[in-house]
Amino acid sequence: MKVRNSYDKEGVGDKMKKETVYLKLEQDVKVPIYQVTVGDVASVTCCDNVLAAKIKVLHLFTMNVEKSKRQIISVSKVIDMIIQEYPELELQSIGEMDCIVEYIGDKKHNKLWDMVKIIFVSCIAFFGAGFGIMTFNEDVSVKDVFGSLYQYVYGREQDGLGVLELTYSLGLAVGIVLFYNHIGGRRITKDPTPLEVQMRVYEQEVNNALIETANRKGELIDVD
Amino acid sequence: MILIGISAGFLVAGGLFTVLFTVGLIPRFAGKTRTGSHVKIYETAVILGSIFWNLVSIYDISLSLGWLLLGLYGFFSGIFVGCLALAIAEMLNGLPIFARRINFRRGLGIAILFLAIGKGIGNLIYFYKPH
Repeated sequence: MKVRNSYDKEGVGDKMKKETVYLKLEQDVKVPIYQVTVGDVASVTCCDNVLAAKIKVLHLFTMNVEKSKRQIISVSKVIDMIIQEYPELELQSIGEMDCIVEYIGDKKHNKLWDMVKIIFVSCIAFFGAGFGIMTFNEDVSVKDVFGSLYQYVYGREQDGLGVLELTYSLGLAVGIVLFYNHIGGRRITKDPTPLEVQMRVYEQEVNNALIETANRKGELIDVD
Repeated sequence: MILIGISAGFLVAGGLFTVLFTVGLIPRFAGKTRTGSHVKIYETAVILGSIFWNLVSIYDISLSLGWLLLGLYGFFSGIFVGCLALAIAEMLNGLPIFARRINFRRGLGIAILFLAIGKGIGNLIYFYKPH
């Protein structure tokens, strides 16, 4: 599909048209190779698909993996690179200002090591949450409170463990499950769970911090 | 009575776990170990952990599994609490403020290390002080 304007008298083709190219920089990308192209860090959209494809394969920079596996590039540098190649284009950045490029190599994922890590973190979560609830129970003397409650309601001392402990445990369980929005693998509603939300927030914050640091140290790839 | 129990459980679950996890410990661990895609497993672990240990603590269940479980419990809850304490301190922005006040530029890593050592030693003294 080529749209050729009637006033395109020179017939130089698409390259000479004042075409607007929309550039959407990603916030962070992972690349398996040293050579980073425009297409790796951004999605490129314009009327001309061929031109978009050409821009996408433009070489941006080469990763210096010995120095750092992470490199941050600013959108102005990307625009600069494209302008140098196609000076007649009009570029519009509609994405992030900076992009974190991370070299992950082609080494295959170590499944076993991942498993170990998952088990480790799960253990922390399991025992940590347990510790949390136990310290809470002890801290506010839940048992004493239950004893008093029993007395208020029945007017006599509690003999053994009653219905209050059972329902408290039940309520706690239901509350947590509702809070985290899933039982095992099954979601209760379509929303993401609180941890998933927090995970994204955390990633966002880390990315921002990385960009800030690179900016201050002058490690950011920028036009000047 | 049933109503009281269930309501209490609900509110405790809501309150306690919002506090525990607004400090964002688990995402941090997941981010560090690059296992962010398995967040669900961690959630399940939290859910199971709190339900299970709550039962243990309310009903005084004796697990009789010996020092192994105790060691595991101590180790992992130690990690958890250690991180929790620092995460809370961080939430209140204590460290950055101090660092800025005294024009602290270098050696943040060393300072953190000493913070950890200090906490560890303090903890040991607290537990093993001669009575």
